[in-house]
Amino acid sequence: MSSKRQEIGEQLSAYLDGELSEADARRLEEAVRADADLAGELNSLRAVRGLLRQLPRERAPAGTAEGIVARAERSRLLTGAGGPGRGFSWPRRLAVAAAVLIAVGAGLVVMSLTREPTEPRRDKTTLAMREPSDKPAAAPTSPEAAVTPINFVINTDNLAQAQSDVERVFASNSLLPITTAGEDPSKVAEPPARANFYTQTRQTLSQVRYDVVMSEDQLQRVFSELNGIRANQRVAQVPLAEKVEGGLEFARADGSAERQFGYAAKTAARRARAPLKTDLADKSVTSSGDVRDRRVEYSNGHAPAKELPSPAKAGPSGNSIIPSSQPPRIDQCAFDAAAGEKRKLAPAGEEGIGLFAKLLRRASAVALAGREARGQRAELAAVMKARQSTTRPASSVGGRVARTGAVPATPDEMLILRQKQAPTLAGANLRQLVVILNDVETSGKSR
Amino acid sequence: MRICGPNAAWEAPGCAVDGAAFFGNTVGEWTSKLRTGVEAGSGRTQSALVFEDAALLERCRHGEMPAFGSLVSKYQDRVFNAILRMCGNWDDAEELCQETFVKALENLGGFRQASGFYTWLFRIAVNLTISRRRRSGRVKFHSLDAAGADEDDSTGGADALADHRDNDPQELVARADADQRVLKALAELDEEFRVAVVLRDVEGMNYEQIAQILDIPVGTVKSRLYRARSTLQKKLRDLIA
Repeated sequence: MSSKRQEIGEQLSAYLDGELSEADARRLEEAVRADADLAGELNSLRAVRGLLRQLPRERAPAGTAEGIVARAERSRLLTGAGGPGRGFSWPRRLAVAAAVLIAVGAGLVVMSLTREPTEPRRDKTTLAMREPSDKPAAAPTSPEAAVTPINFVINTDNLAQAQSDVERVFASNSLLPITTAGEDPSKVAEPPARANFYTQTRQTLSQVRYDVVMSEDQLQRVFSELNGIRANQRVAQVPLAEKVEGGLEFARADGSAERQFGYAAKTAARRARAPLKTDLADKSVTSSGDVRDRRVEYSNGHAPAKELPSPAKAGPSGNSIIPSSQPPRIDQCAFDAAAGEKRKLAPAGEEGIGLFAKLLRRASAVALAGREARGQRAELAAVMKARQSTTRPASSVGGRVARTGAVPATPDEMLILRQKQAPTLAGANLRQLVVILNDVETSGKSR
Repeated sequence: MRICGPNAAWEAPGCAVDGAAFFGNTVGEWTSKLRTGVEAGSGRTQSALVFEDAALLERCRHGEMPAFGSLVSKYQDRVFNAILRMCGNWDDAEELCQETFVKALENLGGFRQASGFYTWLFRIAVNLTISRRRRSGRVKFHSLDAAGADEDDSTGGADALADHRDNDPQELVARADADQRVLKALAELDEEFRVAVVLRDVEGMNYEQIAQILDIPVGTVKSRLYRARSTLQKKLRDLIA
C-alpha cells in the first residue's frame, strides 16, 4: 500500500471515528464527494466497523465477581501485601504474617511426622556382590541388607504359570510384593532393601526376575518349594553346581550357562567371578569363581587339613576351601620352624593367592561389611599376627598353624569372626534370593 | 431489553453506585441495575461516574473488600467482553478477567489518578492478554455456539437479548454466521491490530484512551486501526457487499 493511499485511508478511518479536526473533516468530505473510489472505501470501512459493532456483547460468566473477590482475598492472605497499596493496617499485616508462619510450621510438623524412613534403595550394603568398581562403603550399614545374593534360575515354557507359582510360594512364606511400577530397567539389579518383601521386574519379554530378602529359615522353605517348581517344569533347567547341604543350589556361572541363559547367567557369572565378600567368615571362593557357603564346614567341625588342599580339590562337603581367615599378607610365607620347610599359608596356588588377594582388596568395597569388613580384617590381621609368630606356644592359634601348616581357619577363629558379624544382621541371618524365570520358548534356544 | 452498543456503554456506563448498599445485593441484581442505567441513558455525567469510582477506590485502598466487589461488578462485563474479543477464547477470557481485577487490586496503591480508572484497568487487561497470548503462541478461535453452550442461562441470554429486535430465525442465523466470520477474521489479524480495533469498535474507546492503554502515540493508533479495518475489509468483502 502506498504511503499516500495509506495516509488517505487513515484519514477516512479517523473521520469515521470522529477523530479528525473540524477543518480536516471538511476537506476530507469534499475529497470523498469528488472521488467515487474514496467514497467506496469510506463505505467499506464503515461496513467493517458496523460488523464489529454488531458482535454480541458477552457478559462475564456468573460467579465471576465472587470468584475475583475470593481470589483477591486469597492472594492477600498468601502474600500479606497483596492488598491495595497502603490499605492494610499493621495489626492485619501481623495477623497475616502469623497465619503464614503457623501454616508453614504446621506443614513442617506434618511432614516430619508422616515422612517414612528413607529406604536405602541404593544402599550399597545390598550391592555387596556387585561391580568391583563400587566405591568403598560409604552408605550406612543396614541391618536388613542381605549378604550374598543367591541366584535361582528356573527355565519354563509357561512364564505366566511359573510366575504364578513363584508368587504363590512367596505368599505362603509371608513374602509380600513391593510395587515396581515405573522401575528403571537399569536399576533392576538392585535388591529390595527390606526383608520379607520382593520386587518383580520384567527384564525382557522372556525373563522375569524376583528379588527378595528373607531369613535363613524362610530361605530353606522357599528353596525347597522353588525346587519343586523347577522339578515340575517340562524344559531343561540350568545345570547347577554340586549340591550343598541345606538344599542350596547355585547357578553355575560358566560359559555355557552364560550363552544359554543370558542375563541371569551373566549376572551370576559376574558375581561369582568378582564376588565382594561381605561375609568373609562364611564364604569361600574357589579359583573357578564359585561361591560356597562355609557354614556347613563349621557345623561339621572340620579340622584343619594336614596337607594343603589344592584349588581344584573339593573338601568333604564339596567345597573348595580358601579360608577367609587367611592373613592379609598372603604373599608372605609362614615357615615351619620345626620342619624348616617353607610352606605357604595359602592353600591354593598362585591363582588362589591372587584370587584371595583380590577378594580381600574388594572386601573394603563391600558396603554391608563396611565397618564390619574392616573390623574383620583387623581381626584377621590380629589372627595373622598371632600365626606369624613362631614363638607362640603350640596351643596358640598361630602356633597351631605354624606347626601344622594348616590353612583353614579353625572353627574357633571363625566363631570369633561370626560373632563379630552377628550384631550387624540384627540377630537374624538375612538372605537375599534372586529368582529368575526364563521363558525358553521366546528367549531363543541359544545365544 | 437490549444491551447497548459500545458508544452508549462508554458514554453512560453506569447508574447510581452505592457501595455500601451493594454489599447487600446479589451480583445479578447489581448487573440488572447497571443495564437499567445504561438502557435509560441516565443523566449521570462522566464526572459523577468518576466521583463514584474515586470513592470506591479509596475504600478499596483501605482494604474494604465489599468496595472492591462493587468495582468488579461494575466493570467485569466490559472487561470480560473486551478480553474475549482480544483473545478469542472463553476460558482464557474468564481467567484473564479474574487476573485483571486481582492485579488491579494489588496495584491499587500505585493508582492515584482521580480519573481514568477504567483506562488503567483496561491497560492491565490488555497487557495480561498480550502476555498470555504470547505464552500460548496463538489465538484460539472459539465459536460463538460453543461459548454460548458452555455458559449458564444468565449469560446465554445475551445473544438473545442482543438480537431481540430480530425475531426472524433466518436473520438470526445469518447474523450468527456473519458474527462467526467476523470473529474468525479478527483472530487472524495481527495482535497489535486486533487489540486496537477491539478497543475502538467493540469497547468504543477514543484514540486518546487507546493510546494510553497501549502506551503508543495517537498517530500509531490511527495507523493500526486503518490497517486492521483494511485487512478485515478484504477478508469480509462478501459480507460487506
